[in-house]
Amino acid sequence: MKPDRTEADGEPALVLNLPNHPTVIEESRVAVVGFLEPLGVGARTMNRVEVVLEELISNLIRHGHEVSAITVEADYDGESIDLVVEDDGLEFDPLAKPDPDPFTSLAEAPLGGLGIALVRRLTCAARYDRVGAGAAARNRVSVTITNR
Amino acid sequence: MDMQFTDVGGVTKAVLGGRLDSFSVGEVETRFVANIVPKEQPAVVDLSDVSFIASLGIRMLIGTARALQRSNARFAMFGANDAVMEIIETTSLTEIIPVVGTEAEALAVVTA
Repeated sequence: MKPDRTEADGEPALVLNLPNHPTVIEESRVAVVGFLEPLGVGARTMNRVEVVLEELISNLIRHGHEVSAITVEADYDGESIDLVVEDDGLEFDPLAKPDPDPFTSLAEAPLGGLGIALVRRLTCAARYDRVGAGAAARNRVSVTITNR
Repeated sequence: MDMQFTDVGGVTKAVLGGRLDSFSVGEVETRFVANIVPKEQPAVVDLSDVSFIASLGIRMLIGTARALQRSNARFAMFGANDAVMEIIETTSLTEIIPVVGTEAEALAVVTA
């Protein structure tokens, strides 16, 4: 996997074109961390980036339908990190799933739905779009994480 | 992900090390549960050497604690670093599983 880096205006600084395979979770993590670390992103923010990326891609691999290609984009403007995860599968909005109900006991605690809840809570913005049309239609999840 | 299990005076002590991500959870979850739940005794988990945790790791811990509770045995964790602790707190895990600083505190919690 070779990252496609571009500095052109309006283009994300890191673009990864990946197959639908569980190994891309770790491959994309290593690439995104390798991109952000030299730019001065702090350890706490980096952990949030890693968790959010892991949750978005693992959720896509486990729950997406007819996904053959995944694109990960990352950019950093000195204040916040923008991450975009796109796939070419059937329409699927992972952010539509509501957070688990609050719980105060082990018996009530949910065993599912924690990943997307983490994405919402660790980011300052998260949105889903269905972009393109026909055979080129893609699911796009965009998140922003403040560096602090 | 590394795992070690010992018995500390009737308490199962599990030491985890490495990344508790979706890949490693798939590899270790069965062994983790099998070394804790069937013993039907309190358990503590040392997170000192865990560098990363995501939702499937949280789910593994909740599932194990819940199964142990059916035997009326307590479950606690200790030693989480700042990054791991932020994720534990963000998922409200601390509402249902004690997460303390030291092994002594954890042992005291589960044997009280």
